[in-house]
Amino acid sequence: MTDPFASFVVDAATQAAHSAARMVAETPRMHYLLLMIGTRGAGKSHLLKAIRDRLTGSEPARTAELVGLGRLAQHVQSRGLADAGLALRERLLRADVVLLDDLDLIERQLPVQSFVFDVIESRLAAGLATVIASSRPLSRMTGLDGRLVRRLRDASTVELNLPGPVARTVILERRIAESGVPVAPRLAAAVGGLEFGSVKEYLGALNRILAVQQTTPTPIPVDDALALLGLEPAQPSHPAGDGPPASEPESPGEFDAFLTEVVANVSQQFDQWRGRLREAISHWQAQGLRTRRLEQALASDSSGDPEPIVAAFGHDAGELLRLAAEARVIAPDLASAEIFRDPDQLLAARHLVTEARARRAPLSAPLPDLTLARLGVGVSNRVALETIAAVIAEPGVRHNPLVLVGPSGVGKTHLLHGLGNALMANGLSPIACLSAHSFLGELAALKSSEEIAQWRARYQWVAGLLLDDVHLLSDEGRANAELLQIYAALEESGRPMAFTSARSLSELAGFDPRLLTRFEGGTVVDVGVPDREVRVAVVRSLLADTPAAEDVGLIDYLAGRSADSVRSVQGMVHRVLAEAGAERLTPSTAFARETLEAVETKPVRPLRRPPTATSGILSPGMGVVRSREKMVLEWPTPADRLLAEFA
Amino acid sequence: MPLVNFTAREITCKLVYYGPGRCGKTTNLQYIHGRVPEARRGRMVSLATQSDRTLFFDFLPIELGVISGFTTRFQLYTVPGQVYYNATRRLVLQGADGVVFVVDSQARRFDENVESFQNLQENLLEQGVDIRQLPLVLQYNKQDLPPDLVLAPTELDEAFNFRSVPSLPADALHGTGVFETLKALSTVVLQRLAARPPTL
Repeated sequence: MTDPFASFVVDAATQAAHSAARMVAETPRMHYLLLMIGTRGAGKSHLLKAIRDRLTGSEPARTAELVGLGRLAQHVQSRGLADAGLALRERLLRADVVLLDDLDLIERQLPVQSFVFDVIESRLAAGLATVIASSRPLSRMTGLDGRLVRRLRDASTVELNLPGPVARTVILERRIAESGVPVAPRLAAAVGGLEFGSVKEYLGALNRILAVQQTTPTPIPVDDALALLGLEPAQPSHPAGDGPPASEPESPGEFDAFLTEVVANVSQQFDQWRGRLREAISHWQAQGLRTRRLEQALASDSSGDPEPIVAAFGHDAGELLRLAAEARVIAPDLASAEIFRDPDQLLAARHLVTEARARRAPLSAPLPDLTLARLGVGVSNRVALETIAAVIAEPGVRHNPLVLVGPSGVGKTHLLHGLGNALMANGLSPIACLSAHSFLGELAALKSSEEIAQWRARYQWVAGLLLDDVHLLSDEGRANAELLQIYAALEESGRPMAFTSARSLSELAGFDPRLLTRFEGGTVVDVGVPDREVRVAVVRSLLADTPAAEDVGLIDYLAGRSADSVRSVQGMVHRVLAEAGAERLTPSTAFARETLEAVETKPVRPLRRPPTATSGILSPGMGVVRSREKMVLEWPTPADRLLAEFA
Repeated sequence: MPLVNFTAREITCKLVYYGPGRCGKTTNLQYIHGRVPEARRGRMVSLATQSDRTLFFDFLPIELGVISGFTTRFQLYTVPGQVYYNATRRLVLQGADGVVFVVDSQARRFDENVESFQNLQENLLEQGVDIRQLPLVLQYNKQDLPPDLVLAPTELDEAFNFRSVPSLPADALHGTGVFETLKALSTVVLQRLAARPPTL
């Protein structure tokens, strides 16, 4: 940020005020009252603004309040001080520096003077600095509150006098450069060498020349330019017959003097407008924001009243800062995004935060108990485990997506959750791990398109997606479409995905073909019926905390029994443990055999109708819906089977 | 607010001279007209009766040239002072950016001044304008008359200037204080170019 004091031209006449102002800007929190006195246009307001900009620009946490006392007086006259006055007082007492301009405009305004006195006293008591500017010394003001006069007499007083010709020339050269109007060389020096009472009048005179210069491409010679200021003998103007006064004009240059005043006033007002833009630019840049829109308005000089632009920009900037603050909390990885520094990208920032909010909604995570370490390893799942290890080593790069296919109960879910837990342990978060059933349930609960968009965004933000029993999405068009969108987002950014299916991909019907081709494009691994090795591991794992943990005979017996799924093995072990627990016995091979084989030899109720043979597998045909893998346990006795064969 | 047309890059200020009959409003405009270079002034329109009293209003447009890229013009109006032309006064007051209230300093005209000043406030109020919000300058005219005939500016301040607006003694016939008055009003009016409601 440029030094706001750099634009102030310093010479012997303004050195003291400039130094005092710099000191306040650099050491704001001090017991200090500075009274700055100088004629109108001498640069008092310039210095006050420089103090404010320097203070707030270098340390955004600092506050400086600049109050025009003339405007405050107008406000008090029309509305009184009331509540707004209290609020202003609070603000002024909190600020690091208070800058009060135009003290001379509150002559005979006792309520305002009383307010100012109170503010000064309170700030001095709190050890805070206050700067007051006046275009007239105290001795030449009337109608001032005696307390205020006494207090101000004790203030450090600095004067701004009219700068010398060299400094005036520099000021005028800057104005010429700002205007962009080509002028004759040495014009600034010529005007700066004239005798006027204030810098404002010099600027006014120059503005008059520039106004004429704008109408002609050729630089007006310096002498002609000075003639425009009425420096040559003015021709008396006596329009005939139009009713001018009969007397001789008292001052033939009256109109020129009036015009100079008007030009200076108008220029000053437009400078204020430009100043308003510069002020806004400085303010928002200090907050770390880009200000391209304001800079364009400043550069164009044709965009009209800047207040709506400043207000609109302020509105956008304020919202952007709020969004950035929220992003720091809910999505620290996004908070440094460039769009949070550019109010022109507010829409994108809104979108980003909306997504971040969605991302924070709770997700189904992998079950912490289902780790790979607790999984029984055998021939039937070794390939799956090796593939999973590769995924963990390079998530999203290798085997993406991974599709585990196998009948129910063979350990696909455990493998999936185990993969999820391992990815999370490696720092990937969040990992969404859920069943297709839950996926469908969540989707069915969404009412509005906005809810769906947020739900979708939540999954599009995850670090990895693990979906169990994906075959359940068969004939679920809407779920297929949503999964396809989520899939595309994750695939594009190389995030890992894994699915399990109880049916092979070729058997999946009612699926969006685009999903199927994506599944097929990944790595499809079959998970087989648990082999003896797996069954031993499962039995060992389940008996681990029981008195039979080291009973090799029992482990061998249980693992040796026929079972087409891990779930069957678990069922057997749990039954034996439950029976033993009920009878307060230590499980043994004999006890297990008695328990399990007794179950198998229980008389089977006669079938109401014989089971139906399909593809060599018999369904129970007992009017109960059961999965085929359960049939092995319910296999009919040999007598029933013979009857069925002969039926 | 002064009319600022950003598209056409023009600033137009309407300034109205108000006061009782024969206080010197038209004289002010005539003096100004006489001092403005021909190229910068429009024709002064003055609708007067045979006895030289303003019947409708005076109008003097002044072109001030291009200032800060804006073509700036002032339009000076007077109102008829006579009591029975109140409708015209209201019409002229409409959209005024600032008012010079010309006080006839003669002691015997004091009541007419007060009446006219009250009339100004009433007419502004009817247009929804609070006189406290409108740029106002008081001109104490005819201060060149013998002191025993006129009230001093301090006395007139006591009577009229209860909100400390700029007030100037004047002798419009000879031009004393005429441009000072116009300058004072234009300063206040132009300061409102960038004015926003004070933030408290």
